[in-house]
Amino acid sequence: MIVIRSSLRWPVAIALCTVVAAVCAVWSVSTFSLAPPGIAPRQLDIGAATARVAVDRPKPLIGDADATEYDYETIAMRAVLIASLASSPPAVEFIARRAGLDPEDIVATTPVTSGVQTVFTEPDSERRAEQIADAAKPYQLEIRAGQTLPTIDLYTQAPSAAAAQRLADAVVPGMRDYLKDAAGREGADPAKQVELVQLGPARGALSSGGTKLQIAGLTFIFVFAMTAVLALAVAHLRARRATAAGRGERHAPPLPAARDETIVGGRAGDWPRTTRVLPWLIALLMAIVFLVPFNDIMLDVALPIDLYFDRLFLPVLIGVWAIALAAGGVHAPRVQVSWLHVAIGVVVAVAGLSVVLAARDIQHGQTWELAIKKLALLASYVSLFVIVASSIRRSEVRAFMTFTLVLGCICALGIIIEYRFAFNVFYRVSDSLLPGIFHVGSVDSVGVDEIGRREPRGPAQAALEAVAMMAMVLPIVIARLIHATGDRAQRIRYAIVTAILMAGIVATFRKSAFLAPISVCLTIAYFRRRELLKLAPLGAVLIVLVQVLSPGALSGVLGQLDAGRLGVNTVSDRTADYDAVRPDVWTNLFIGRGYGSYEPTTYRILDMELLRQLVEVGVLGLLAYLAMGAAVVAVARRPIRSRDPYDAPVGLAAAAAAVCFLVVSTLFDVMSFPHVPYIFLWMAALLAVITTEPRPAPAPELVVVPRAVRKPEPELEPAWSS
Amino acid sequence: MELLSPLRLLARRRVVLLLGAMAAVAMGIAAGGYLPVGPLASPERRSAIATAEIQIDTRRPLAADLRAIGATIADQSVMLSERLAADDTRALIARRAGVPVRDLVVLSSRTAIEGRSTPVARAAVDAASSVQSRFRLTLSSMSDAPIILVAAAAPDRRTAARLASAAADALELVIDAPETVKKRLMVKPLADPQTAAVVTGGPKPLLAVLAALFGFVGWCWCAVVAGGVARLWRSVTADPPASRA
Repeated sequence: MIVIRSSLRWPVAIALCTVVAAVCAVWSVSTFSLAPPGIAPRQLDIGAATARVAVDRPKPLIGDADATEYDYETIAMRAVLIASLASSPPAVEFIARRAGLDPEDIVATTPVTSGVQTVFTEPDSERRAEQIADAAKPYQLEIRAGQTLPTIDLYTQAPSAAAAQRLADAVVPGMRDYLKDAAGREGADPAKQVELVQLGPARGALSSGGTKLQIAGLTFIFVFAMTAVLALAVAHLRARRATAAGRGERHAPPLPAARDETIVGGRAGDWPRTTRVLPWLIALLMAIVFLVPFNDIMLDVALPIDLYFDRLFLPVLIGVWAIALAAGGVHAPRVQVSWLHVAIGVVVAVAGLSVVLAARDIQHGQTWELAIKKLALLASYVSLFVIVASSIRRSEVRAFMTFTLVLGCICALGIIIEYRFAFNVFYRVSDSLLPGIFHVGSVDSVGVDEIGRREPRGPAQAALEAVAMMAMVLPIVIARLIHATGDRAQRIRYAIVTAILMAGIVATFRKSAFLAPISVCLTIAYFRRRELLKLAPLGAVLIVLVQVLSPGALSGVLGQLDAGRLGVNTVSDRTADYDAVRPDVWTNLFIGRGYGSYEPTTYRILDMELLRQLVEVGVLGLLAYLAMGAAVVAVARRPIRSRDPYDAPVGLAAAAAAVCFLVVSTLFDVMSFPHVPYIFLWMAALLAVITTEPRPAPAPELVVVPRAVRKPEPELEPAWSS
Repeated sequence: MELLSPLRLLARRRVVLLLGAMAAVAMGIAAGGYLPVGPLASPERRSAIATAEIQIDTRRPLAADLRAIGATIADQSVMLSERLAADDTRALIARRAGVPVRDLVVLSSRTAIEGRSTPVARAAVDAASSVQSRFRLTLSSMSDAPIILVAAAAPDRRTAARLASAAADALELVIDAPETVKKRLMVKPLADPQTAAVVTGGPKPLLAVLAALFGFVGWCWCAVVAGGVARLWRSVTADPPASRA
């Protein structure tokens, strides 16, 4: 606890933080001028409108009983051509003239709407560079041809709703002018051109209601939090320096006192033999993470936010934690800041900073809501870390690790069942148990992806996510195998658990099912080479067991790693991303375009979290993200090297899980699949518990003294007596 | 176990609890729509809807005559329903129904964005759907059958029924307008429009109870957390204890 000598300094510091935050909040939505001095609001309003156009022949097909399918296909193809031409510079000139705008202020696009694979419609880096250059233009026009019918949909964006409607209403007359002009130039008969009929006036409204307030609010919260943290850090450093100067020597900071184990005995003992609510709530949340497809379960109620299953439970956990923290007492959570807290805090800070700095661009790109949602999701991940690290006792960590192992095992067994019987037990059970107010998504257990692989995924949203979940649990059992001190039966049990986890991983049919466990094994090998070598014979047994549990899966995964089969879409897409994101990276190299603001549908789906981080939060954010994983390994080194039978397995498991998390971050966008960050931060939090909470002092040895010779204890004197 | 301390804390602050209960009741009343004015006021509103079905058919009835050819008729019925939103047909519908044309909106239920949606498209669709109007005609078509479903919304049942009936007239106008077409499609209303009164708004007792409950729990939570923050504040602003000699 930081204690400031003067009682006046804290109110002053908080007032200063508030003033700075308020100024920044006002600046985020206004411009300041010095001569003459004044504040003017920034133009942050955005209007949007839509209209539909029907394309027909001069002799209309619409009511003609003699119209044939060929006629309709032909006119639908003509609609696609007209839509594509409408976004060309000559056509945009005609449209701009009708709308009374400068053509240079309009960016017009025609997305591909025909039913082809997404990857074939993703533009390359040159096209992306053009998109970025056009993004700042005030008027946006999107023209989409219907997939089967001869219609064209128009979507516009402008600084006001009226301007957006005006632009949309100008498209049909502008295109008529363009077609007439083209007919004149080409010598065609204007009477034999397609008819464009606008189906009602454009409808639109302001689409930025309340965003100004949100930008200002987020800026205030962020700046206040950052300045407050800075003030605390400065105060802490000054206090330490003053203490050291007063004593004339440097002292290590005093270790926090261990929790009084005598108090926690009995009914409030260690989980699972406890009546404390928080550990049980945490255990329930982890059970949800491992066993419930929560990202596919939504409360079927019309609300402004999507209430997924975890978002219903997490606020309860946060609420109970906050109230227990505020109320204090023996069983209250204790927040002890560690390097892991700092590393994770930096990730959050950089994410927040990137959004605050790019708020106006994000708003103009209509992705503000998305960025806020992603920030909230990041906050929910981090809140789990903080709650677990402050609520779980050191003596409970092993029990929770065992619990995680059990959950991972059940998850793997469910995936094996899905692989063998095409039956997703997690979705089916969730659908059966939850009341009708919840909508449980559907799963296709026999479906295949674009390169013909089945997709068993258990409770996850994607097979890759399931791989990452189980791979991060795998080091727990390997660490236990290495540090096993029990009998042979215990080792056999651990070996079976390892086989189940591995069988579950390979049953997903992903190449990552090979890469993720390898990363885990290599990390453990780095710290425990000799011990892992001793387990080598177990590897052969494991291969047999995995083949028995998931027949054919192992060879299926290994077959995909053949050099001749690495040219499939799933690989080439990823490698193509490296070049394709260059324009985004160089445009905002240092701090990115804003956390969560990258909208893959406007460009391409990035199958790599590290690339997404680089684009959204720049080099700074990427380094912070990598440092988060590295911090776990660095913090885990001490318990691993101690070879303590209690601490070392936890450190080893957390370090391997962190490396696995970083490895899978190169394979898919992990932060968009909540199971993975939840499990990673869960492991990191358990590591934080064993590193921040000191070991309880060994109980004094009891010396049995015969009653007859027991001496009377001397009477205690008061401490202040001379 | 951790929750015992907050409960004890609250038990000692009965005045805070009483204030919280009063605030929760007020919140429940407001959220339930019992207040006549204010942002949460929810006065009872009555309106009406009318629904009708219109079949688009060939000269030879598709259902009764196997010689009838209707390969494109499903697509044509979709396009016909879309066509009713155009200015000329909208004006005709408004005239037939006796409503001001500027207050009439004709919508298609085919609002899904085709292909990959983009932020601009999503914002435009959201903005368009947020615009309210007194008279609304929504048309949807079955993708595999030449039947147009008409749903009309108006302040009263008679106007709603007139709007729904006017849709069939407007469809005939669209089909009959071009002089070059020899064989035209037929418009066959399947039945008279069915009307129903719609009551929206009004007090919501369940919402009131939930809001009151939520408000009370939230108040208690805030009271405990505020107590904790105050304690923290006192501890950081207090002078450190003098060191013992």
